[in-house]
Amino acid sequence: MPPGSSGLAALLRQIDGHGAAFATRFAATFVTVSLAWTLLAPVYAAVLAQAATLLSPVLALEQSALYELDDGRIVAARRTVVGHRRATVRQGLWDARLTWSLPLLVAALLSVPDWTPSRRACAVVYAVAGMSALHTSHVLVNVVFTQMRTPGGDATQWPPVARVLVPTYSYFCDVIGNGLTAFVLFCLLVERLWLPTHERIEVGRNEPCPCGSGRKAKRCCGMTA
Amino acid sequence: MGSPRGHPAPAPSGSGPPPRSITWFCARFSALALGLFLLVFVLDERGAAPLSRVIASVVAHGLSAVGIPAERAGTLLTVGGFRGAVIGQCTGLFEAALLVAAIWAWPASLHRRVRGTLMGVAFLFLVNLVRVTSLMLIGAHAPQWFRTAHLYVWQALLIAVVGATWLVWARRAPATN
Repeated sequence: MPPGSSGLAALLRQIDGHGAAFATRFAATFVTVSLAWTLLAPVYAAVLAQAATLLSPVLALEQSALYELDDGRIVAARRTVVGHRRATVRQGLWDARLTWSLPLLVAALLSVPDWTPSRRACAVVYAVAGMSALHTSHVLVNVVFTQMRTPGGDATQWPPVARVLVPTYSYFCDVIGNGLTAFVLFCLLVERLWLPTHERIEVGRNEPCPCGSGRKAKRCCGMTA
Repeated sequence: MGSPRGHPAPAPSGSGPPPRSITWFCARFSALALGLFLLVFVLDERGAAPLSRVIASVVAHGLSAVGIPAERAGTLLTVGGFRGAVIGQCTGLFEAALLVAAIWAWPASLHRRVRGTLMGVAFLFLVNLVRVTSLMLIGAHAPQWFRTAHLYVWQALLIAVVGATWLVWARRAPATN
C-alpha cells in the first residue's frame, strides 16, 4: 500500500455515492448471517464454554461449579445453601443466540465492495478470532460475577478491587464492549486487508508484498491474487 | 513504501489518515469510548432517570397521539397491557458515547467535530425513540418476539446506525493533521 493511502479512507470513497447499494447489501447479508447464526450459535457456545473451562483453572476460578449448555446459552449450576436448605442455583453466564456483534461484524466485512473471496474469508477468520477473545473474557468474568451474586454466597470474600472491576467489565461487555470491539476490528481489518482488485499493483513474486506485511508477495497477497 | 518496480502508485487519498494512523485512531477511539463509558456508567448509577423519564414521556405521548393507548408512570410504560421500564441502557447514551468517541478520535477540524457530535447525538436520540416505541408495540402485539427484537435486532441495528452515521460524517469531514 503506498504511503498516504488509507484502506479506510478508500472504503469511505468507494461507499460515497453508492451508500444505498452498500446499505442494501449489508442489510441482506446481516439477515442471512443472522439466520445462519441461529444454527451456529450453539456450536459457538460449546466451543467457547470449552475454552472457558480450559482457561478457568489457569485463572484460578471456581472449580466446583457445573457448566451446562442450554441451546446456545452457557449456564452455571452451583450448589449452595439458601437459608437452611441446600439448593442448586442456575445462573446464565452468556447467551450466544443473542450475541449480535459477531454476525454484525461478519455482515459488514462481507459487504465490503470489491474484495476477493480469499480476502473476505481471511477477514472473517480474524473477526471471529477477535470477537471470540472478547466473548471468552466476558464468559470468564461472568463466572466470577455470578459467583459474587449467588444466593447464600459471600461477596466480601473477594478483594474490593475485584468487586468494582468485575461488575464494571461485565456491564461494559453488555452495553458497549461488543460494539466497540466490532467497530475497531472492522476498521483495522479494512485497513490491513484493503487492496481491491482494481487497485492491485504489479509486483514480482519475490519482492516485498505491497500490503506491508514484510513477507514476499508470493507468500502473502500473491497467493490469493 | 514506494511503488514496486517503478509502477505508478495509486493516488494518495484526499481524506482520512494514513495507514499507520488508523492504529492510532483505534487506540484513541477505544480510550475515549472507555472514558465516556465510565462517565455514563457513573451517571447511570447516580441516576439517569430524568432522561429515561423524558424518553418514556415522549413515547407515551407519541403513541397516544396516533390513537394507541399508552400510559406512563415515572420510567414505566404500559402499552396494550404490556409493561416495560425505560432503564439507563434504553436511553441510547452508551451508543451515543461510541459515536462521540469515534468522531473525536478521527482527524477533523474542531468545527466539524462539534457539528458531528451535535447532529449525530440528536439523530441517535431520534432513532432510539423509534427503537423504544417499536419495542413497546412488539411487546404489546407480538410478545414472543420481544426478547429477540430487544436484545438482538435493535442492539445490532443501533450499532449499525452508529457506524453508518460515523461513516457518513467521516467521509464529509476533511482530514486535518
